[in-house]
Amino acid sequence: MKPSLVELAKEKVLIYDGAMGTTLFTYDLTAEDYGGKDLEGCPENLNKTKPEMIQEIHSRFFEAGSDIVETNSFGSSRLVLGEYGLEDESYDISKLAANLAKEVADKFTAKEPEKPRYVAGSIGPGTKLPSLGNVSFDELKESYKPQVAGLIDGGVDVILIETCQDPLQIKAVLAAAFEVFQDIEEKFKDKSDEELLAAYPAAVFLQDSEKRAGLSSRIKFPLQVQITIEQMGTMLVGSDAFSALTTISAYPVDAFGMNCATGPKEMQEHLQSISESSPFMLSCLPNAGIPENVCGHAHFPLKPDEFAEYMDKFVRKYNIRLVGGCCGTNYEHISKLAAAVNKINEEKLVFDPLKNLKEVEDSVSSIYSSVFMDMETKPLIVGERTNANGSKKFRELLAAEDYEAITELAKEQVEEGAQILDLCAAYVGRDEARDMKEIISKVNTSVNIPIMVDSTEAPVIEESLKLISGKAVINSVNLEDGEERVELIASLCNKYGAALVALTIDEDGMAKTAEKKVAIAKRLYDLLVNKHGMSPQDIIFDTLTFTLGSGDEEFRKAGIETIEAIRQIKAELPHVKTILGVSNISFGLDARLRPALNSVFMHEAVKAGLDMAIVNNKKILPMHKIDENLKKLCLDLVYDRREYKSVKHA
Amino acid sequence: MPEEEIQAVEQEVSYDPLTDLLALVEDIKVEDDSDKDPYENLSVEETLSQRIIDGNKTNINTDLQQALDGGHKPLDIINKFLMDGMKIVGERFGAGEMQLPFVLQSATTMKTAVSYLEQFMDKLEASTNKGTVVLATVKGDVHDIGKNLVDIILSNNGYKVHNLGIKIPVEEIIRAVEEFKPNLIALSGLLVKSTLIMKQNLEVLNERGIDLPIILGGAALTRRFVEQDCANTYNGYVYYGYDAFTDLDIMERIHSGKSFEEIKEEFYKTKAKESEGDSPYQEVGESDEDEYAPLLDYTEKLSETKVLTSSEIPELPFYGDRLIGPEEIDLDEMWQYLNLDAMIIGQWRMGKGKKTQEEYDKLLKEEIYPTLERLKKETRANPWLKPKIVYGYYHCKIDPEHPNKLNLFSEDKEEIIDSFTFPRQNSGEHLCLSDYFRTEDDAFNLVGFQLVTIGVEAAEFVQSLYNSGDFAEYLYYYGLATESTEALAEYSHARIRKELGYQAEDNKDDIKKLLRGGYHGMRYSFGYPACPRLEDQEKLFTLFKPERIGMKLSEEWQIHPEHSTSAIIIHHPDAKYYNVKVK
Ligand code: B12
Repeated sequence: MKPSLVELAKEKVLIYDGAMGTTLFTYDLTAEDYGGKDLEGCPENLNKTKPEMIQEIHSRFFEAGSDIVETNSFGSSRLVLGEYGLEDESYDISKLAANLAKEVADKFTAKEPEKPRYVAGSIGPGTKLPSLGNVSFDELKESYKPQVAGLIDGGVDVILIETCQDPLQIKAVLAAAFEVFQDIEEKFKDKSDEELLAAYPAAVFLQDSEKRAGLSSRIKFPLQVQITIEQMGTMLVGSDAFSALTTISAYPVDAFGMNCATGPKEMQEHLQSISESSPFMLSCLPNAGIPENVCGHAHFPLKPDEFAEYMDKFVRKYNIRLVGGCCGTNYEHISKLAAAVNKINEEKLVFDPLKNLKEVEDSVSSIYSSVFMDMETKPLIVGERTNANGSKKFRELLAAEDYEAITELAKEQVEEGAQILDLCAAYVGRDEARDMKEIISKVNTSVNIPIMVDSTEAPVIEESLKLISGKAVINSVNLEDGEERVELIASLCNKYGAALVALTIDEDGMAKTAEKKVAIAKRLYDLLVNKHGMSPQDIIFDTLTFTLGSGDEEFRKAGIETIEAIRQIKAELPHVKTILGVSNISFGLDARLRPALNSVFMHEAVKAGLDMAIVNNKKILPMHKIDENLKKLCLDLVYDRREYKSVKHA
Repeated sequence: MPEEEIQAVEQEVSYDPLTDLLALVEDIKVEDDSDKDPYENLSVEETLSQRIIDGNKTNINTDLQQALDGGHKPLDIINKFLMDGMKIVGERFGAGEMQLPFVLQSATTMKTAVSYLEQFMDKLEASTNKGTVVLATVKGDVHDIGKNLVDIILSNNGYKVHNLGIKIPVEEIIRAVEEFKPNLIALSGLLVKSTLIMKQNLEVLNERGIDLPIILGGAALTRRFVEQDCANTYNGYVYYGYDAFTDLDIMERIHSGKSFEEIKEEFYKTKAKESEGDSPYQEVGESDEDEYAPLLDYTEKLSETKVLTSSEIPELPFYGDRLIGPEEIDLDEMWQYLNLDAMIIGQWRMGKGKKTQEEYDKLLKEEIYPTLERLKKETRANPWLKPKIVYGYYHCKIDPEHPNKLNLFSEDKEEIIDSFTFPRQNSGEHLCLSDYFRTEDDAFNLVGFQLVTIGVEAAEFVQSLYNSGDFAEYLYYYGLATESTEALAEYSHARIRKELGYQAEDNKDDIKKLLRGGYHGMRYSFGYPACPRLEDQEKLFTLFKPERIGMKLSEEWQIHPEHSTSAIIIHHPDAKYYNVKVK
């Protein structure tokens, strides 16, 4: 049996093929070739009408030196095929495309077993951008499911989600893929591993540590994601390469890279920025330069030699493991590329797993940019003015259904320094899911900081996540209703790639002592990380606090317990983060006192290791603005430094 | 704990912060409800700093105007009062005492102030264009105040600036370079991450065949990172932008027709010990000493330096180390070795320029020399300069197995106590510092070392001038401090030559020649091209314990205080400077 593609790529650089699309053009195809006037321009139908031609193209790329060819299935999703009335053939065409390529690959492998050949199931972006509301997440996901299933059933070695222009579209394909994996598991649930492998040689059995709640639990198939960065330096919807990487890093994919839009030269800067922090193997399949319009035809200016020269440099410099060409690259480009790569492989440049993961692992993202959660200047500010519990103005806007004004409120917070946006539309008597959908579909593209979905309702959370293009944070989960809920929320995080705020509440209610808070945090950690497969970096503990304003003996130590819990959690649970809604500490006190107490408390919490604070910056003050005496009283209150004098017994 | 019980029974609360807080409520000032001037008791200068700290830009123009009317120059207002405030903001931000929203307000206030002051700055006639600069804050970094200051200063001095903005990807910089064909590219970055982005940008520029000179500025950078890591990365010239005037300085030099190499010579060397500011980011940038690593073991071909006979090896004046304190060092004796050219032209920027020799002589006589005398006089009266030296000698011999390695021996010559391995040129003469210790019949040789400093007080003093805003004085004293350090090293070396009996060979009549090595033997600092490995400083520190004279070694093997320097002293008559790096 041939080695798995992912394993082999760790040992040597593997070569993809060149362009399918622009190669097809060289055949001067007629409407008939495509299968009639109505189908003219539908390359996927050529799998049916001209299979020998498609196989010839695959063969010639293998001959030129490719290790992997892409199936002719770029547009074989339901939605794209639907434009030719072929939506119901999505599965069949995808499977046929895979079969054609696999037949050729197997022939070559049989001939040269020392150079096994592979097939990548190509999935293009389609014609609709979900972030812009052109299509819903669910519709998109359903459109991709038969495509993924057909490709896998047809025997591809890797699912290649390529030429991506919108991170939300990637999320939809991934969601489709995970469901297909689950379907296969279901079909084979009474069958042995051997039987499964016989049917799906490319299936990968999951180690216990790789299992994630909500996703397939027995097998997966290799996944490769490639974004397209336009000349302006971002994806079509505006995401830069690093934020797209942040978004995808929450998913169990195997390779991440770039293809299309530009030549290698323009890709360099972006490759550099992802190569340093990608947790995945890197791939790079550029165009043969930026197409120029020559006499009405797209002309790709980069000659095979130049192309190979760039790629040679990139492979060495950025540790790229999967290379090939996109538009405008032909057999000659690939053969020059192969010559260069073969030389590199002789030098045995082994895959060197990347070092600088912290930055991407500790980040969340919006559609446009990512935010590092472990910044030196703590705390990270989570804006709370778009929260129905925290802001009267927001409630009023919500009641008036003025979603435009809510978006403005969100933008205002960014200008005031918010780094993550808390969104909470839970308001009695209103349809929370609908409100959240309305708000998020606007905020997602008009505010450039990551979104924190503040809701405890699983359906609200799920609908929200289907609209968010970046890596979001969910706020929150707790143990009040037992462990099942934890699994449910963790599943959503895994399926939609999100981080999670976990509150120190269990079946007995909100923990009061540091000891109990830490014990609950550990229990949650164990469930979320060890049982449900979330990564510790994505877990943010909220140790909660009670007000010190009531003077209640029971809560006099609330500040101390909260701060101590933060300190212990940071010390004992590596990589996790902490968060706090600071203004609870002063609940019920006079508005003139609250900013000072909030700020003093927050400052102490930051010293103990608080990473993020949910605040309204109008309700805090910089320390130097607080009168010394007031500051001392606040500190004494936080640390319960009451003084006593002894009195004689009566 | 039974504490609570005891309280209940025996104790009664005598102080409860909550009670006191509630009692205080009425006294708490809520900002907007008083129309009192919050800066009532402050001078206008203090008010301006405080306004930056408070992020209060309401009516700031009035205060700015008042400061202008009081005789302050616009740039001084920025550099002194406003920057002072900003520095505090940065510290508090870093310490978590001030949160981002407030820093943002401070930044806005700073911008408002700068844009008001801009109209009052000295401007050159608009018609002149003395050169073109492309300016940007690098990708991923939003800090634009420092960069905009660079823009203003250059623009006002007759240069055309294309300010591309913040978060600028290298592709955009390249496009601007192609379009505007600048004389200089200026990049700003305040995040530590930006320093790495800058280095990456340099690599991309290399690949695109761009080798225009570049100046890198912003608080996260260090001179060392720029002049070593970045300069080694980039095919063109790279300069370190210490402040927003450095770029003007460089443009002026370019404008006056100097070659980039000349500028580099003046710039790197003369300012090499300039303060790196209080930047806490000294650790930025890995060093690339590694590139010398192979040369440490390179022994294929040895140089043909003269082998010393036993008669040519001086006697050890004493074994081990000695300390010389400030009371033993006469300032004037030390100042004999002051490199006047480096100070006046390099540090003070008072070169001849376009003046005739006569005019320049007049300037020297009437202004420059008297200034120097004044500084010396003030220094003697108020000694902020506290020269200290540790130096000494060790027996040594080349390692029999490794010709690049010099072993140091205990006093009884029985034991090896330490060793230094030097890189060897793998081309040219194949020189290695250890070659200067080769002896006939494998006899023992001697090696000297010295560590000198003019003390922490110097940096503090110079900084206080800076803070007080007296920039002219700052510049003068800074120059004097830097060149005094060099002079002290010369002085110490002269003393060593005397102890070894080579004093007669000193070129006494021509101090300029003396300073260029007109004496017997040679002195090399770690970090110099012949012995580039800074980590060897660590051995010096183990041997000489210069902590005794207030020196410390940073993780990057830089000596603190900044006005310090160390050296290995070689007495071989043919010892000379050479460069071990092969291109
Ligand atoms: C104001 C400020 C901000 C403002 C910037 C507003 C704006 N429009 O510029 C805001 C609030 C937006 C901000 C944001 C952040 N900031 Co900030 N910020 C500062 C602060 C307090 C002052 C900077 C400033 O404007 N100084 C005044 C100007 C005039 O000085 P300057 O820029 O240093 O420029 C001088 C020289 O350096 C030189 N120079 C500068 N550029 C160039 C270029 C050339 C060519 C030349 C020759 C010279 C030169 O000339 C100038 C005059 O002499 C500094 C702390 C500090 N004191 O430096 C932190 C600081 C730079 N920020 C910091 C941080 C961490 C951040 C954030 C990441 C915070 C966060 N948690 O999100 C974000 C960064 C977002 C991003 N992606 O860039 C840290 C950086 C630490 C690090 N390890 O990287 C600092 C040092 C604060 C700290 N103590 O931790 N910040």
